[in-house]
Amino acid sequence: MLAGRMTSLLRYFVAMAGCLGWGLAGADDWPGFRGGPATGVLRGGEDIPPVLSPEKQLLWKAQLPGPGPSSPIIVGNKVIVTAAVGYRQDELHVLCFDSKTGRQNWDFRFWATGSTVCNPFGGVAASTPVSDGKHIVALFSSNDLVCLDLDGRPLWFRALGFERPLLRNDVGMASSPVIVDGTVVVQAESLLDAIVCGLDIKTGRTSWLIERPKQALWCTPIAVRAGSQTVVLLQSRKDFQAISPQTGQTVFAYDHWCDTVSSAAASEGFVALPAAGIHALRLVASPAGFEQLWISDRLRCGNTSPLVWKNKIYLIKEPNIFACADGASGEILKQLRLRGSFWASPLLVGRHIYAVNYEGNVFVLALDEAGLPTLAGQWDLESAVLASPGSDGEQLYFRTQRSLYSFRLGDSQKE
Amino acid sequence: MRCVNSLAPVTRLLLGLAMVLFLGFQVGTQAKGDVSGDIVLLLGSGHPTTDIAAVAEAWKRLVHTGPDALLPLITAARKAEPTARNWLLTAADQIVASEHAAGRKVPTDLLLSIIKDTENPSQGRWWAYQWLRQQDEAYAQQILGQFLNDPGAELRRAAVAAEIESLGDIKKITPDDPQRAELLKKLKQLFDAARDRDQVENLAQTLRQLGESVDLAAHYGYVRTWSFVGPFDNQEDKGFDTVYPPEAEAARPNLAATYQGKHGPVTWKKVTTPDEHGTFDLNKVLGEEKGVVAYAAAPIVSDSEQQAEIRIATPNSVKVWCNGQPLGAFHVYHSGFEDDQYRMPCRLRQGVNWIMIKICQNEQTQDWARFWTFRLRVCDGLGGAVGRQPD
Repeated sequence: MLAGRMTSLLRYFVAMAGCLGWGLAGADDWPGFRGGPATGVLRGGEDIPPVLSPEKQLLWKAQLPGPGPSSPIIVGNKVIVTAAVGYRQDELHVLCFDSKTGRQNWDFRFWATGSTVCNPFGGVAASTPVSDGKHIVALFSSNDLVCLDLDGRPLWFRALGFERPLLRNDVGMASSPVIVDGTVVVQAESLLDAIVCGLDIKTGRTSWLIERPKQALWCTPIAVRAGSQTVVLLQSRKDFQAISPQTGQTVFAYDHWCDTVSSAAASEGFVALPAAGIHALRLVASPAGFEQLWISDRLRCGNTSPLVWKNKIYLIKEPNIFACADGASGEILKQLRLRGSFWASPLLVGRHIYAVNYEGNVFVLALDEAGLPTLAGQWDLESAVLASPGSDGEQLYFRTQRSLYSFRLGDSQKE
Repeated sequence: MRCVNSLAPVTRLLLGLAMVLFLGFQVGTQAKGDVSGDIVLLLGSGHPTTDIAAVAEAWKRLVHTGPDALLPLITAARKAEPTARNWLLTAADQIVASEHAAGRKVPTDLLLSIIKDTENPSQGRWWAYQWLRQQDEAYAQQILGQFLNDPGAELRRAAVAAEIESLGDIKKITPDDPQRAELLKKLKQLFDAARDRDQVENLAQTLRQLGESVDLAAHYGYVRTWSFVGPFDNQEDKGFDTVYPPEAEAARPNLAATYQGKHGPVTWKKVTTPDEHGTFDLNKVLGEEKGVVAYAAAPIVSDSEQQAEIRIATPNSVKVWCNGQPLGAFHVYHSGFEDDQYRMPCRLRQGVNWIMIKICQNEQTQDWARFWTFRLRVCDGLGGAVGRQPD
């Protein structure tokens, strides 16, 4: 009885520790792929009004020098986005815009040293940059990395694709880096070469490097608290590993293959793992590390990643079915047919989810008290949207192949 | 030498000497004294013991130096390894961005000296051209035509694009256009200069509309005639690393030989593809089958000893040899099939050179995995044809 109560307490503690802070990034920052804790959910109040009148709520639109599926990130009043320019997409850009005005603060560009061969549908600027509030790290499909300060000055470069010429994917590579406790974790896996490495954020030097099975993978790792430690969760075609960001060593693993495009989402110790459906896992304080809660093969994510919020899972099933499932059981509670094809992952801000398809149709889904979605509005951006949107709680940011848009949340009056 | 002060004297001396000696950069003569130490630091950025924070500080100081540092930076980038080249070129880029942000122009003569010196890295020359265009667009446009045969891909592409644009809508040019002869001459000149596929194909289409014949394969350097032998066994993907007899003859294939194949004796057969991008469908050449290996061999005649690139595109696993020297091995199936997917530098000797490839098909059963195909070209670094096939 006591042991059972202790276990429950331990689970509660682990669950509460599941929300991971992101270094120096501010509470309202959106510092990496799908935001901070990699759930696609903006932390903050639920009373944030939606964007339902885009023509009135558009704050600014900025032209980008080149295409890219990478998402914008927000650090303070800076919006950072990457692009690849040129016939060979070998001129790599990291751009910074003022979040309030859309004025371009700086544009740092450098040259690819690895392969820029990729499927023309995607692009070389595929990985979303990441920031710890002090550094900005951008990775490209050529496996070139640059670390900049917030003023766009270089702190280091790494030419992983030059150092390991077989580290390339002719479709393109897209996994985004994460920063954990001063280590940049890069998961670069292809059929010819595959590694996960930890780089010192201050120098770019390799702290550790793990050779991985040679398989193509486009997922982004996520960092979560597991008990007293932070671990990085890595998907692969073999298993789902939790590794130490300090050493790269496996701490624990879930013995099941994973999807290779859709990335896992985590919230409060709960993990939704895409694996031809969803494997719902709970982080537990035992050597096993994961407790399997349920498996549903009806929750297939396609090319987008799921959201996890308040014991619900939200995801877009192929080709365009928006589904809400119960986190406790996996039961599908509600489904809505949207339209088009989806590459961008959905975003939850306040009580509204934004799902944008490739054609540029934005679907705004309102969540009721029970967390069930209804279609609250629909409006259009320009077409060719591959990038997942971001938010800082005051504005929404959408990136198309050519432009960056910012919409004010709530107040429909322009400043 | 502010930056170097942070290093131990011996380290400083060794680092400086190593950079000067091994990178061939004559610091004393090419840089103003104040920037040479910082440039040496950037050049050494890839060394494992380099203090990368000191490099970043050196970068800032160089940017602060202003346009005086431009030429030394670009010159130093000539032989820099790729990461160091990015440190150097981005410092130059930032210098110009700062000048432009302050409403100042960089001297045109300085930019022209960077652009016109083809010893400078093509990326640096291209950025210098962009800097010039940002501050004097009309002049930049005026001089673009002289880069039609530039050794830099970006400058050449821009020059070709500008010349095409100056002709108006070239798709509307008709055979009875009164200026047909002059237009043809210009179009042929542009076609000869073009290297990127979109421009090449656009010009080829127009030339054909005007009744001109165009040999795209010859332009790109695609090899259209190969001798093939196979199939050999590749069940369970074991063939990729199995050395079948033709591999032993990669330096000079014996095209009269008979080998034991997967199903019995196999001999070489010569095939020419009608595809103007040199694409071969091995399912047609050797029969559609899974779990097989084929070899293809082709002679390329070079009029002189020269550097070249072999570029191959294939969705199959492939190994490539030139004159018996292994150039590349790519053990991937059905991932991509983009032009110039794998680029391999090689040295062609004067006379006949033998290229051999080993192309493997696996046992995947999906419809999209039935492709057993490749296209290969021999070209220079820009993509212009090098060598020829014997008659």
